[in-house]
Amino acid sequence: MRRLAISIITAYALASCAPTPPQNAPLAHGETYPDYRGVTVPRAIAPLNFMFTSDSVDAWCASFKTRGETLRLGGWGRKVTIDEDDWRNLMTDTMAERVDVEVFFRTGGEFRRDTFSFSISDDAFDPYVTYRLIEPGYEVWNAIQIEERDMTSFATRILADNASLDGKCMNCHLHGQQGQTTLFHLRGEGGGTMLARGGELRKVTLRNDSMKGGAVYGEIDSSGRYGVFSTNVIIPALHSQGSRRLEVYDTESDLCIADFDQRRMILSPLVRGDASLETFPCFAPDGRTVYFCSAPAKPVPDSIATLRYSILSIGFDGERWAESVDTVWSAERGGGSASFPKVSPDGRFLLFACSASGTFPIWHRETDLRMLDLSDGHEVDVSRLNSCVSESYHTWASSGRWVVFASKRGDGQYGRVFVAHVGQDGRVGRPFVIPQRDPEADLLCLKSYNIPDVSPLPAPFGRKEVERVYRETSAINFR
Amino acid sequence: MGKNGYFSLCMRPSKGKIVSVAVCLAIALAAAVFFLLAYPNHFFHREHYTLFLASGEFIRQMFAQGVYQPRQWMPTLAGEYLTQFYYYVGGGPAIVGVVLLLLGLVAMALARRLGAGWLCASSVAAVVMLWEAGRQCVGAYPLSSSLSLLMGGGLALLYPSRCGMAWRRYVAAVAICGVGLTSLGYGGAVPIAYIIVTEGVRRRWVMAIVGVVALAFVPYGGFRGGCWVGFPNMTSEAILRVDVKSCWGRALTEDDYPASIRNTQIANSLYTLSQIRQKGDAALDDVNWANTQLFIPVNEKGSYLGFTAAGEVWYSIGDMTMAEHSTILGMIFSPAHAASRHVKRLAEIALVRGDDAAAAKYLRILSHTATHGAWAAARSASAIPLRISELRTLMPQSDTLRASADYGRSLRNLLNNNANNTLARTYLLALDLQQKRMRNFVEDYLRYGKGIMTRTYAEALMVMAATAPDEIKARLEGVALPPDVWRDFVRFNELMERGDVATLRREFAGSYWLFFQKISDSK
Repeated sequence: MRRLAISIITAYALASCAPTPPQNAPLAHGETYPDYRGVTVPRAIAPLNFMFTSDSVDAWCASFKTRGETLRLGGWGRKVTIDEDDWRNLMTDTMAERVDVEVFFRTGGEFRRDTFSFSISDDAFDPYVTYRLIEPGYEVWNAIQIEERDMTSFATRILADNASLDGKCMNCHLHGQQGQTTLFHLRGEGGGTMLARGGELRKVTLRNDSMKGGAVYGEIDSSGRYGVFSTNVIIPALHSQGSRRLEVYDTESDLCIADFDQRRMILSPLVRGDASLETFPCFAPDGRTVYFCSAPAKPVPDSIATLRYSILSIGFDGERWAESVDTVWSAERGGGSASFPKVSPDGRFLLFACSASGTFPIWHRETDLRMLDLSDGHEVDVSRLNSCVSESYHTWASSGRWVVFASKRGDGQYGRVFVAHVGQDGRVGRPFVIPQRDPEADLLCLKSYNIPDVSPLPAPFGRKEVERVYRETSAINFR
Repeated sequence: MGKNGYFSLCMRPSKGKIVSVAVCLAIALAAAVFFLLAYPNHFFHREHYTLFLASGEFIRQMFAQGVYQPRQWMPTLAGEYLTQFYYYVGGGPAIVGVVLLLLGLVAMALARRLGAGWLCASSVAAVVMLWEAGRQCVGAYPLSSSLSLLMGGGLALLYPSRCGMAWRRYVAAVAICGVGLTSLGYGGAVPIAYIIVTEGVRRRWVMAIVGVVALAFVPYGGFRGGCWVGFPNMTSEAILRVDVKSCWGRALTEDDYPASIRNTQIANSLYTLSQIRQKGDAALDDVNWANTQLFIPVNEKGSYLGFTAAGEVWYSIGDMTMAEHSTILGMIFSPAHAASRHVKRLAEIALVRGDDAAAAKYLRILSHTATHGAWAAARSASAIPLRISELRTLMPQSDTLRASADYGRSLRNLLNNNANNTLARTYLLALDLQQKRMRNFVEDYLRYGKGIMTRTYAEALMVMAATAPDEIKARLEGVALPPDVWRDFVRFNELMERGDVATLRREFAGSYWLFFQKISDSK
């Protein structure tokens, strides 16, 4: 009996050890997902697990080397997964600015060798990213969740689940004031804007009698007192050709500012009216300027191909909108249609999505991220962020050294969250997809990670509080 | 019973036992045969709407998204895994037959342990089996629900009710309640109820009371698609038969379309599709214009079956955007929000579009299933299936933008890009006729269907030739209408003027003119 037990244990131990590769294995490029070659990652990032996409890979050995540490791993199959504690030890080697990876992978019975490296940055990084999990359907939704992920680990939690909110649509979640203020919209009867501020979660209605609709896209200023929003009448329509699928356009859109302290909406005729469409507003870091997209109103959908949005700016002094509007980026000269302008926390750069036309970048494959240097108006080369499919829904980390955005690269259908480093001079690093415990997770997931937004702090509420506020409180009306 | 009071399989079976087991076998066999011969489509349907991947990550995602519930994990995972094998003809009936048999045997064993005689025990078993068989007849009733009961019953059998040592009973009860409350879903109530009864009968009140308290913590919420009582529904089976055959690309016949389902959106739409595919424009001569569902609306009011049927129609016609829209909605509104049938269709749509990266994603997902791996592998290879090639020729090269309910615009765009899209043509002309947009019909007929003459087209053109403004009449001058249509039109108008509705219905049953004049048709 004892011998049998020892035999079983030995056999198991032997089976658990990955085969040892020969050191002179020939060099070959192993297609991996995700591809972390040449990226720059925050030191605190979760383990960069990856997998070989070829089915024929059945064993691997890998070493991760920094100046002071080496982590050696091996395993069967084609997924390279790293223990979180081992990873932490590797990455907290404070001398290390780079990790060199050497990986042997066995395919067709023979080992090959591949090498790559990635850089480590100590620039402050907002670890919490919030996104909507939703299928890439059009017009109609069913199960939607807003999930928060801690990018230093694989921990996730559900902030809101529409299964417990009578199936309501939820969207446009965002953070402000360094994560101390958070909001998202809950649509439909009994809904409202769920605003977490000052440690309290409330349901508010960001609309008054002179507005045509409630708040849609927006941003909270750095003080947490004001939020700037658009109000949109949104119409979906379907393309018939190729991969464009859905088009969403506004027949009306205006801007407003919500004063959360005084519970009032601040409007201006300069950013309202039927002659033009204003949308996607954001604050400058000092809260004194609002940037937004604007296009002359045209008959839609017939003129959608020529509907192009420029980026304008207008002042705001805390009480009133300014009396004049300036053009920051012209659609005509820039050759496209802008959406989602986002100013870096230091006020220097303006990152925006640019598509051929229209106001719905996620389903425009040609959509790319572009960036202006606001100090002199020139365009900074951020082509490294882009791919042959859409990149959009971008956001800055509070340090201004990282951007997070959604991209459909890979399968072209499902949005994933990407992170890229941004240097002080605006130079961008190669973006990487946020790592998963199982590197195949993204490939098997039938939901998109939609509208990522980052924060240095976790959201101060969870799904139970959201349900309680939704069911048990009335919306606070703004005047 | 064995020496220690346990149910022993090693003893020579008594006559009662043999008869009881035979009863269970007979019921299970009868149920399986019924499901196989008279009710198979419910089981194909359940497999269509299941997606189970041999992947820990996928399972984790399903729990995280709330599709699987943690306290039902055991029967859920087992049930979802086994449901994949409903894919095979007879797979579902066989699996359910075995589950029913085991359920009956467990119920019988539990009854015997409680002191019931063989007659009573076999009656209990029969009731339980028939009850569960009835539930298996309902829509998307999940196998997990049956397994929950089975596992609960099996767990109950492990309780040493006759053991004299109290500590053993306590330990067993705690373990059983623990497993029951954390893993089995509502089936966890079975072992707990058994403990209550056996302990109560023996006046061991502590355990009985603890059991009563534990019962309150059982998650009675049930499984997605579950129900408490069910009966065979042959109308539902007929609808699913139409749906399943359509999914398999098989032509539907009159036998597939009994009167009981002709007024249902799904059966109506899919049967119409099948008829048009088989007969082309001539299919419209048999259409019941008042009740035909050409397109099922894809909006928030729809059902997942309706969305899926809509997807079949659009896929056949060649509008891949609408097909994808409908398919995704059919999937996300289904009980488990993920469905193998729809992932396959999404892969096909991506292949038609030439969207290889998207297709690769869906094929990768299918490669993790137990039954669709070969299908996925065949499409991962470079050879393109014929159907995909054919549909590619229908893809529009020019774009248009339209609302999802603007069927006419979609169909015209398809035809403008490929005049050989006969399905789109027939549907467009049918749409015009059903909506009585006669000017549109004339325009569309002259543009896309000129030279094609069926009885229905002739009747519609006759109406316009007789009643339209001169500029339209002038455009119809080159169109030769059959002489018998002229004659019949004269006769029709005579009867109309006389107000002889009965004769109209008798002589012109099935004609477009009756529909146009809003006279109900007995057809």
